Amino acid sequence: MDPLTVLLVVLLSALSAILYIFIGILPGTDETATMAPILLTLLLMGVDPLLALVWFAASIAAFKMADSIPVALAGIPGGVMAVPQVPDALTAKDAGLADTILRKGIASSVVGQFVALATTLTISYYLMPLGDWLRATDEVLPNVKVARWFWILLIGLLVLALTSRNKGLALISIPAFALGVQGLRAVYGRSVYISFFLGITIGPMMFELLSMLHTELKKTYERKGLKEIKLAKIGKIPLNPLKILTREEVAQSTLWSAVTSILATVMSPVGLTILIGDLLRESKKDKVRGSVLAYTVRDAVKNATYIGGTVIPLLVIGQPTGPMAAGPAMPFFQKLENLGMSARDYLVTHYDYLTISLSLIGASLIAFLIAYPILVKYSRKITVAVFRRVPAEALYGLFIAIVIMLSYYDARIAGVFGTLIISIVSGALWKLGVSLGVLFMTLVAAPTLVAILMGLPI
Amino acid sequence: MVDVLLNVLNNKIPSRVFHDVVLFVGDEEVFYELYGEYVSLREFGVATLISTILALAFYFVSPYVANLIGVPSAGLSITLGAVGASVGFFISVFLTRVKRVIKEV
Repeated sequence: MDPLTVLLVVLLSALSAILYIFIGILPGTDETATMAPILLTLLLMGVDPLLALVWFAASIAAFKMADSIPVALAGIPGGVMAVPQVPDALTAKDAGLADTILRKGIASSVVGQFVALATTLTISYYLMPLGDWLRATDEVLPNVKVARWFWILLIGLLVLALTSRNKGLALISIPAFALGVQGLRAVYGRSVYISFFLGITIGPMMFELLSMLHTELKKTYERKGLKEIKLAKIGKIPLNPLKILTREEVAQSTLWSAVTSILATVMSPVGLTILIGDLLRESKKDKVRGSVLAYTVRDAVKNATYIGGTVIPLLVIGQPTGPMAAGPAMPFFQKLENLGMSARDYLVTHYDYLTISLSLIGASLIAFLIAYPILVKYSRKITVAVFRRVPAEALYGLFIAIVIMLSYYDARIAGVFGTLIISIVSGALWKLGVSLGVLFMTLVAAPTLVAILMGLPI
Repeated sequence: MVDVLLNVLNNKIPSRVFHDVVLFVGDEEVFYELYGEYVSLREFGVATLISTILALAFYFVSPYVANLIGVPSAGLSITLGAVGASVGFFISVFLTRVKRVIKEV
């Protein structure tokens, strides 16, 4: 790696960490909606995929560390992944332990990220030779060839559908949504992707927004007065992370980070965070101790699943086989016109395994060196500043503007309307209890799924 | 440095210049809960419009800028579009009000 690239790695990691500390603390910032468009923009701008990967790893480190800060202080999640931590945070807050969970969460995020990197980079190294076998195709029906990785994707898709709040609808929406996507692509005459992806990303927000055009539905969203946020006071937190976690917390965080980083290849990071946290909480007789342990390990699992869900599909399979790879990390797997291939293919053909691994570790290290002391020392002040000074309207307006621009870039004015219809359908399905991960993965599986559907003799 | 920045953010930024016309029920203003946050639809519309107009304006100007500086326009259009949207965000921060009130407990 030349000195300029090293300098860019350091700069991008630092910038990403600082940006995602603020995004992480902001309430209501969905991970896919905030990580994927920025990643996609960087790749479309022509940023080297290795530097984009560095940006992404640093954003995971800072975002997942910061999104639990408002949970600990105010019981408000900074991102979707922090939602499972809310009940435990409220229990701990009632017991006067807001600062305890705050510091434990920050420290266990570091454990989660590095354990996941060590685990998944080691596993990927040994499994990489399987990549060619996974990308080979088999004729499963007359004239229908299916790549072997598709079956891994399908298993992940079905697992995710069966863990959705509305299992039945999630299952039947898979072929229906795939047909809708392929139908629109047929109308466009080309394999449009970005506008559909962004449509799913902003689906929940657009659905709520468009519901307000209906007089009766609008009333259900009405709220009187300002939103009251109760912020807990915190004491001084030591800078040394080793003084923050107990032996049990380090052991549990390490164990579950390793396990969940592998499972996230096909399973939902949110689902795993809920599952592991609940198991640990129930293992303790004392409710408060159980909640503190669950909260702490969940913070580690959040980082671990995001790293694992990205690294194994990226380095071994080459296809987005899980909700993380098909969500926030999806831009790495999409063919880009400026590269003539996907960012993932560019990465593995232009850089060796060691360079990619060191970049991921380096980016995480830099991100934590910046985010950790800032969050330990200034978490409360930053939270107050963000809550007091950043209006939700300005942030949502920024996301919508970027989505409109990228949709236009993808398929001109048709792309903007494609995003609109996909967002309405996605938002409605989400409202009815279908995980957005099901839709992201269906988007990836759509060409093969429709080919199989059309090839069936019934 | 972080302290100075946070003090500026917390104390020195002037009050918003844009004042919304809002519906009142009793003594309290009425907002709408969108994605877990309280928003004024009017301010939301203004913020979205500003960011979108700036994003698209920068996007469409990019081929001329690319010609001037002699670089391919494809990558630059996204870059400038994102810059335009971000400029819109910073303008919107001053034109919209925060709908949160913080209470120490």
